[in-house]
Amino acid sequence: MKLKIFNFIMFIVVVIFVCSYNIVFADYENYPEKPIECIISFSSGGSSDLTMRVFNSLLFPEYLSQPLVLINKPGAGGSLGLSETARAKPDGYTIGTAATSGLTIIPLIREVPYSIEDLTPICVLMEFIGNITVAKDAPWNSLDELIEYSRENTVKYSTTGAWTLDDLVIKQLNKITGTEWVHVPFTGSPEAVHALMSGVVDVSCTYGSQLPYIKSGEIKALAICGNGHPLLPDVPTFEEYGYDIQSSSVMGILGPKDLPQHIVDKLEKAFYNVYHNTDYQVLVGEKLGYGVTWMGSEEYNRLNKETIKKMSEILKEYDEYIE
Amino acid sequence: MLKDIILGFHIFLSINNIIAIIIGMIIGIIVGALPGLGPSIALAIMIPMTFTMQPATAILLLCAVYVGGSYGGSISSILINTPGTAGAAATALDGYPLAKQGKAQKALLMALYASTTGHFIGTLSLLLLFPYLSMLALKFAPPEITLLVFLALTIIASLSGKSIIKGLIAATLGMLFSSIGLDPIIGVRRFTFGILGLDSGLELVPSVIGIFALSEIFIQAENILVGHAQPALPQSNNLNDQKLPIREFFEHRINIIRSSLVGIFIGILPGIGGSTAAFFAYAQAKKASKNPKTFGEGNIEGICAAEAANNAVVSSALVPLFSLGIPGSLAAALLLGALLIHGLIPGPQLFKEQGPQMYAIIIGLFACTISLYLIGLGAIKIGYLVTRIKASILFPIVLILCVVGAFATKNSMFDLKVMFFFGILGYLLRKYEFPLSPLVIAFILCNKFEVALRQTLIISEGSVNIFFKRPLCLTFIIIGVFFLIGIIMRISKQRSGPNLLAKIKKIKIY
Repeated sequence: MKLKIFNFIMFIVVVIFVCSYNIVFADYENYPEKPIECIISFSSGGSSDLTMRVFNSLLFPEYLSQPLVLINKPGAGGSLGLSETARAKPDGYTIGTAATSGLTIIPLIREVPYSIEDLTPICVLMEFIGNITVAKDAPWNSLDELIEYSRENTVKYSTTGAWTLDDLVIKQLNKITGTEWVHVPFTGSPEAVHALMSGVVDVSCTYGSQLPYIKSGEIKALAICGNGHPLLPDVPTFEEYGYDIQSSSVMGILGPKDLPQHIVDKLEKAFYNVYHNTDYQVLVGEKLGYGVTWMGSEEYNRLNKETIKKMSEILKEYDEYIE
Repeated sequence: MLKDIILGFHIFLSINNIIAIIIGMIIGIIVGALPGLGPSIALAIMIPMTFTMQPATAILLLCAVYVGGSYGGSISSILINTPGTAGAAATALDGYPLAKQGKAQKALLMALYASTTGHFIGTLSLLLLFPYLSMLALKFAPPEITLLVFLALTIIASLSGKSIIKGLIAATLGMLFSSIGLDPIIGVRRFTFGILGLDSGLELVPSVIGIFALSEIFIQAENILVGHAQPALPQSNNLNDQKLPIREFFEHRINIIRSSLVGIFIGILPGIGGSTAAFFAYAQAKKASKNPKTFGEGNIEGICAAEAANNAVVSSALVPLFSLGIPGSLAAALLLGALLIHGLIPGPQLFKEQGPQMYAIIIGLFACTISLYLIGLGAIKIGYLVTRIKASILFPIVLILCVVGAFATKNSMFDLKVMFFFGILGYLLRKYEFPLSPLVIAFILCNKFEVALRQTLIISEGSVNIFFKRPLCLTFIIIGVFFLIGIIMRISKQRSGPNLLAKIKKIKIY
């Protein structure tokens, strides 16, 4: 008999525990209750990773009651990490970072287990600064001069790989101007810039840390991707040249599909506050020299859809394109 | 410059810097020795912690981790046949056979001495040859890299052991594995079978751990099962096998200097890294050695070459980083972020504007040599305890370390499967007496060779003449031809056969 009562009490205790767990889950006022996993789809030490590490050190505990646990899942141009994020449970405890090319280009050319519909955009924290650069002693001082030259001569350009955004920026430019440049893909942005400096290619287009070489005068920037950058005020954007080229590459944070709106709002608000923290602006924007940019959930979603539309137009002409 | 050096000394001589070097070195050696955790992972985790430090202290802490990590890989390579880092894969080729002969202590000491000297020579070249090396770095474009990697690949012929056919089969397998993933030039999938994890190719560290360490564990487990259990590593009674007198070390001075130079040259090239340098130096050491046949079966010259080159890369990778902002290795790429955070913007102006800080860092790198030697001696003492553990206890622990290491590189379960696949493959290859090193060398180098060759041909618009037009390329070709002539002459002297046909046949077998 005693045993039965004991069992009954234990049963009640367990039920209460289970219920309260569920209640807590439903209680979005208390979200987040445990650390949030953030899948970084690039390797440790890259610009996404460094930004998120700075970001995370400011986020907790000041702006969010729980820290992010940063997990690097590099590989396949960022699509490995993104498919992991898309697969996660939409409970707000798994989010991930993405770069524009993994999010919008790769699903157009390779079969991957995610598309933009499988993800919920939360915000954009950073813009990768991309530049079209030439050697310091090159005869061209503007993009137009280079394009004119390329009508008569062969121009070779280096990028960080085939079908990356860098490559597609040049392909868009070629399409608009009716030129054709020879693509020499490299495996990373240092190698691509090295090729430019050693003189085996004429032009380089990469996103990443070209800033120091431009500042030190080792290479010349003819154009800047996206909306420009305060550290390079003199370099014109494509828009200023009069070309309609989709070239901004951003690092955003996304969750899986069907992420509840209140979670998106809560995270967006917390991240917004971190973004406006002076330390974030100084550390990421000035010291690391990355382009700090803010976009909310809706704006980010719009950018992704526009980019996909533009990229489809370009890629349709190639065999790689898949519907 | 002299004033800057003196000011640099002034900045360097603070207790913080010395503590940073010691702590960084300890962390570096530990993460280097643990399979799978390389210096890159440790650097990435530590960079945010250095934001609040003084610039010199922060960079020195990270450099010490990098130096220690590059050395630490040799300890596990020698003792348990598990290269802690990809750069130490070449060390395992001779290190583990030596340990099995009871000469673990000697091998470990040689690895430490060679690493220390290699690092010292590398740092010296950073200090003295900085402007020349940074100019040289710009002379290396894809055509030069193609030929350089090609020269390194020729080592396969000499590492094939008894049967050249089996060596070539193993190398072909390695080449096949290196071609898995996205095509580096046109971006289509190759041999991925729809597995997303294969898009970026087979990860190097899990594969190498599988092929060397896991296959060894399987062999040991089999020995225990069939009752041939032996102690994991026998202890030699010969006292000479346990120590390395300085006199004996100096016999290898030419080898060390040559290997360090190889390390310095390869270190300044972006995207090539320590593993290529180590294999290249290994090949050169074998060509120059009096006993080339014992390479791969426990020749201390092999360790000497691999470690000197692997550690010379550390400092020379900083040359293009400081002068051009182009990192020569993955770990150096991480350092770039740290430099920027601390306002040390790479470029030709760096030494002019930040002279004292930079010389403080270089002086610190020299201090790293001393700290590497002292802490390395301690690490050897601790590591050597491994040899006292019974095989039935040691190898399960190694297995756990392998699993953790393979997972930790990319936080990926897929890499674990890759590791086990290569473990089973390595076990089968060993059973049928295929040499493993040609497979690993081809696996590491073929990818780089393919990328560089195809880039070259795009640049030259399909013509191979480019290799003869560039002065450095031509030099490499001439070196290669001399090697070939040297080998042929040596063989024809050794074995004067009855007719020419037999001679040619023998050359092929060699």
